[in-house]
Amino acid sequence: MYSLHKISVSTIFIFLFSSASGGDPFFPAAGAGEAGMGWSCVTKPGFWSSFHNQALLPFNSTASAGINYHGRFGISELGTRSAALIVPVENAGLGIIYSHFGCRDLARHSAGLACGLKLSEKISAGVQADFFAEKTAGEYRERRSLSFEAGLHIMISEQACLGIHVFNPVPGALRRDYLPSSLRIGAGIMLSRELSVSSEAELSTDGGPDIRTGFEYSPSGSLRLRGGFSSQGNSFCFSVGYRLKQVQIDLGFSTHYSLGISSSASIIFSLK
Amino acid sequence: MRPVRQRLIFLFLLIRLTAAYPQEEKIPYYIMEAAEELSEYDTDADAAGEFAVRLSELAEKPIRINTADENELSGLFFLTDFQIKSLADYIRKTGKIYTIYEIAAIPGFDASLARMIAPFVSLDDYKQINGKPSGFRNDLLSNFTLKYPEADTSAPGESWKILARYRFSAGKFSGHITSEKDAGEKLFPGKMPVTDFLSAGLVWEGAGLIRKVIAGDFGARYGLGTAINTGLRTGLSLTQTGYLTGGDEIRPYTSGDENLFFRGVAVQLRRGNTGMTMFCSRNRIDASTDTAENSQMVTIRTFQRSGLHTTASSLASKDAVAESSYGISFSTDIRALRLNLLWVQNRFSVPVMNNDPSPGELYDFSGRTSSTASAAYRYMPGRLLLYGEISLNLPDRKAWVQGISFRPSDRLSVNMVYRHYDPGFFSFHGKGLFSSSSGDNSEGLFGNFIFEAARHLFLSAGADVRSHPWLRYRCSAPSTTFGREIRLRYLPTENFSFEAVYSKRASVYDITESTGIKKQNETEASLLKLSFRYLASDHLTLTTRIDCKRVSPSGSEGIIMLQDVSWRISGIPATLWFRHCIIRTGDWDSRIYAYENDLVNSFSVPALWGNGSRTCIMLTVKAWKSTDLRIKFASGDSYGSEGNKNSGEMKIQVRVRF
Repeated sequence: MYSLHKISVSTIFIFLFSSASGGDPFFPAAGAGEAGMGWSCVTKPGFWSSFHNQALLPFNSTASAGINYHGRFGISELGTRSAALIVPVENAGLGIIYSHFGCRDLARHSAGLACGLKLSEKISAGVQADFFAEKTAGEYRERRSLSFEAGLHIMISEQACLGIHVFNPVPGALRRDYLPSSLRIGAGIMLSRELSVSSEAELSTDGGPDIRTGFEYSPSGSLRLRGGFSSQGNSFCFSVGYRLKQVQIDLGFSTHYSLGISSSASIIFSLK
Repeated sequence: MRPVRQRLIFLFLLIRLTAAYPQEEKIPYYIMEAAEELSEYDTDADAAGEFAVRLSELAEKPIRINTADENELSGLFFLTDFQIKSLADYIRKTGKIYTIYEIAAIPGFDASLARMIAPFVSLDDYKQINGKPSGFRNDLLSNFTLKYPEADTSAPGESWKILARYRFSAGKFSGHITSEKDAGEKLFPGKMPVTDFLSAGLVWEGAGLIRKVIAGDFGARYGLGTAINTGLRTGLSLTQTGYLTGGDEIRPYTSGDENLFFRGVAVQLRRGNTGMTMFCSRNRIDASTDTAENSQMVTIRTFQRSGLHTTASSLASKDAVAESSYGISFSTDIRALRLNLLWVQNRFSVPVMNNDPSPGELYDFSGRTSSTASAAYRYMPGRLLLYGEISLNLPDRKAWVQGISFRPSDRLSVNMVYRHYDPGFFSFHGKGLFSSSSGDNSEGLFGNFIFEAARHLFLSAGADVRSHPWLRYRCSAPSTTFGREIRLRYLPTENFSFEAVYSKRASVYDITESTGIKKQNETEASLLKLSFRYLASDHLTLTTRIDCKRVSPSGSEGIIMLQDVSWRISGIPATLWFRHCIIRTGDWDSRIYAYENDLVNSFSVPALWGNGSRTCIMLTVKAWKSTDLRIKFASGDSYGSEGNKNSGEMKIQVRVRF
């Protein structure tokens, strides 16, 4: 029999499925910097954002590895732990990511193998094969799903770019279990060498529309300040990042109008 | 005379421009709008397909604008009357258009519009464009469509649909044969190896007194179409009106509608400014019939228009009635004035009886013979255009339309149309301006303007109010409907366009739950459409669209977000088109229609509703020099309290030209 604690966690978990910041539960909650921009990162090159839009993978010039923890609303059972590796190969980038969400009684493991390629000077595209495994305590069966996601990144000028990302465009008739699908479309602009802003819209089959916007400001070469807003949950976000030689450390926070504050921390190691 | 080099540069540009744009780019936005309107508000499911056929024909046989008169230019039916006039005036004054960019400089046109019409016009003669003489040319097209789940599992035939069309032209002669089997129909339902629908026609075209002779299946249109119009319905979009005044034409029938066409002979004569058309037709059409108990007399209960023969009753109604039609039309041009007179008679082999009508059927046609006389005019002095038509169902039912368009400046045009269709006015082959699919029982006023507010910025708005003095479909009382729309188009560069449309429509319908005398309530639907199109390179086109809809009083809301990617693959003659669409709508009332790319000669405007997604992928390959292959796969999922639903379709098209 479930304890009251487990029921409450399950309730929040289900609630998250429909309306929590960050869209549906398959949304990759990875990257404290990305969280600080309200997850408005479909156009922003970066280590973790390469797994939000695989077309950004070729923008990573050095091999890097990273770990991330994203804690939702201070509840440990709703935490996401992620680890990833990116290896650049000429005009392409290869990536691998593993993520674990939940607790012992209710957990989702996801793993992805990604590849991004520069198709031309302005256009790059990427694709990621995904594997999901959901484990629920009790008599519920485990669910496993295979799918893929793909992205496109286009430089429309030296300062402005477009990003498009689609998750799970696989017809439902081909699978046994439901897996949500989503579409993210955004634009980003570099206002100066120090300041960039981005904005995007996402619609998922699991949740209403989410409009996000964010900025990144770099007052010095190693320090980055970020802020953002996500319309789902009226979430305001903030993050700070610091680069120390081969190591990039980011801390991010986001608010939810009723559920409280979520926090993120990530470390990226450049392997060169 | 301009140098040959310049012509060659233009030719290169034109070919490059045409090649750079994939098939869906060739569809003018007006057509997409109209197709979506037809799908949402018209009960005639095949109506949108007519656009596909006309566009395909135009692309294959572009209008030679430098030698065409105004009537021929009106074949570019998505242009407005003023744009046609402006184009004709420009050619008259300058003698010839040498580049597509010249069109952009004509009043009423812009670069985007010039680019849009490029696939449908030819600036020189046929030989030069195609590089070979116009000898015996053949065009064979075959479509295969399979949908899942099957719509009707009890149907007698296979669930796939197939269409085969052969066309040829040899000098002044041309002809066509169309064969179609709908889903669920038997491939050869009769004793002969012939599909359910077979259509054929032979055309001769000349330049003297006899301009055109058609033997076989043909379509026709006269004046504003209240009496005869087997082609496109006009007046669909409130802000994209297209060519309102229509024109006179007879044309070979190549559409898939199995009941609307004429079968017989049509002759078009012309001398100077005066023309005459005569036709006679005898065609078997679908109708449900009754037999009176006492007299054994067979009568028509209803006409069947779907063309689908998959049930015992629909098979029984197939070709149950013979319809004979005769008509004669005169037209003359006197300077800026064009006059048109038409008389047409339809006679059925079995009478339509309406002895004990329900209130909704009170004005319905009864009898064996219907005669309609029609007079139309069009007067265009300078920047003013007046046009109108009156049609009389003898003896006493009438329809009349009066329109005015004026263009106070090159950046502003204004249209207004009043129309009146008596309850019981019927034209078996008519589609009047702003008529519904039933075509009668309405009186309305429409007005709109199109304004170039700034460079590259176009603003248009329109409103339409119509009253229905008698009962209509899904409304058991006299009613009024109201629609308004505002559209903003911004085209800052040739590579980027943005469009925002906000529309609101109010209609009165029966409350389905009400018992006894039906009560009605007013339903209002608001729709906001945002679309962005970006040509990232010669090979890649991106289109993003977001639609939001709200229906009151139910409060149902819907939103869709879709992304199109069209990629012309380098190195091989192939184009890949991909669409992914996320759908979240409250219920069927808040469904949203979105045009999607399809096979040549086909249209697809699915109703998107529920919570789910729709994914489409289509590959177009020029397999050999004369052979095109298209394969489309579409799949939709919907999840909700009513369970999960999956649907999809696969279409294959092979086209050979030799």
